[in-house]
Amino acid sequence: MSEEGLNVSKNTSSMSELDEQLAQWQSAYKEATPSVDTDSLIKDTKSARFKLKLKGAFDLALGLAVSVWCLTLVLFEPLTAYQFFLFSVLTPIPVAFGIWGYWVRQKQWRAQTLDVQSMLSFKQIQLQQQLHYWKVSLYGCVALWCGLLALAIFNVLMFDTYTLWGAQLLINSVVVFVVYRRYKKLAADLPAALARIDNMK
Amino acid sequence: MKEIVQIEKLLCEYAPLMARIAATFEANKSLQDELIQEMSLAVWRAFEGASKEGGSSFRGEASVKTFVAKVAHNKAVDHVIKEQRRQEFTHEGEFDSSHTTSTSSSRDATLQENAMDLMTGLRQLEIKYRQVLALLLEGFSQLEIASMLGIKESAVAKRVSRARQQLTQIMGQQP
Repeated sequence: MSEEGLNVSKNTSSMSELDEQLAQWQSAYKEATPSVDTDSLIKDTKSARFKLKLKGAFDLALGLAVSVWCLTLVLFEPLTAYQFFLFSVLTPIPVAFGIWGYWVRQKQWRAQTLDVQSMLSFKQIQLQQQLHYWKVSLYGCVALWCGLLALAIFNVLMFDTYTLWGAQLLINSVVVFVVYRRYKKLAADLPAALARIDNMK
Repeated sequence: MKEIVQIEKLLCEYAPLMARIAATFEANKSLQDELIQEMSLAVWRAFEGASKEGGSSFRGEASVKTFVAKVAHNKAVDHVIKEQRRQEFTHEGEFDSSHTTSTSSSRDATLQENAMDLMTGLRQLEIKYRQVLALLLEGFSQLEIASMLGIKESAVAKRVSRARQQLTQIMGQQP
């Protein structure tokens, strides 16, 4: 037999060994199917789906109720100019927040139907956005704390109300600290989290 | 109502497929069950979304099985990201043979052992290799796998080859 013929024969034999191995693995893989109680699975899935829908509806209804309450105050209650401005600004926020939450949840669900690479990229963007939200929250908290500090200084100097403003500053300092710690932790963990997802791609 | 019945039928039909995918990614039985339920819910939501969009989510899908496998794999990867327990279940997780469907006494004991070795071996592979091999063992073509994973067919072929080499090595090392 020629050398070429021998090579072809070797390749064919090696291919058939690979196919045999794959067939064995496929059979073993099917054999390893964990038992599933489908009735119970469907029941649990239905229940989980119902709870999710209920939670979504509750969030939306709560937001709507708060907005309607604020709107009622603005339209039907005698308010000072300051109160009128405050409630006018507050009115759309809860319902907008509820709608935004619904939109985010829908987006997350849709991500599950993407191909795996796109879903992983979506996860990476989500992690980066999460850090961005915490950064914005931190800036917001610091800005509020600074505003509170200015008010506290003014009130302490004018009215000697040390305890009240001191307590408010202290409580808000704790909030700022917690938000800062959370932001720092997320920022420190982000590169490793992104790298882990990259490894899955 | 008709839609719910259809989805229920679908879950019944593809529960074993989802269970196998869950077992490939998670060794702990209770976490596996949780994952199967999460997959079922994701599949349900995906089909609901697809019917709302007039089935547009299915366009380009080779079959319902491909669609279910893709959603289930996404959920499994999501689970791995969330749990961050890959290290735990590759080292600590033990395959529980009492939970397999092979209850018949006529089943070959060697086949059971092979199944155990295979699952343990699969869980030791990197996620990207585990995915292609699990899908290949499920009977999907390389083209279908490429579409599910969002990579080129040539990349799938490379991964399959690497995955087979690594799995052969791992299974050779197992007692």
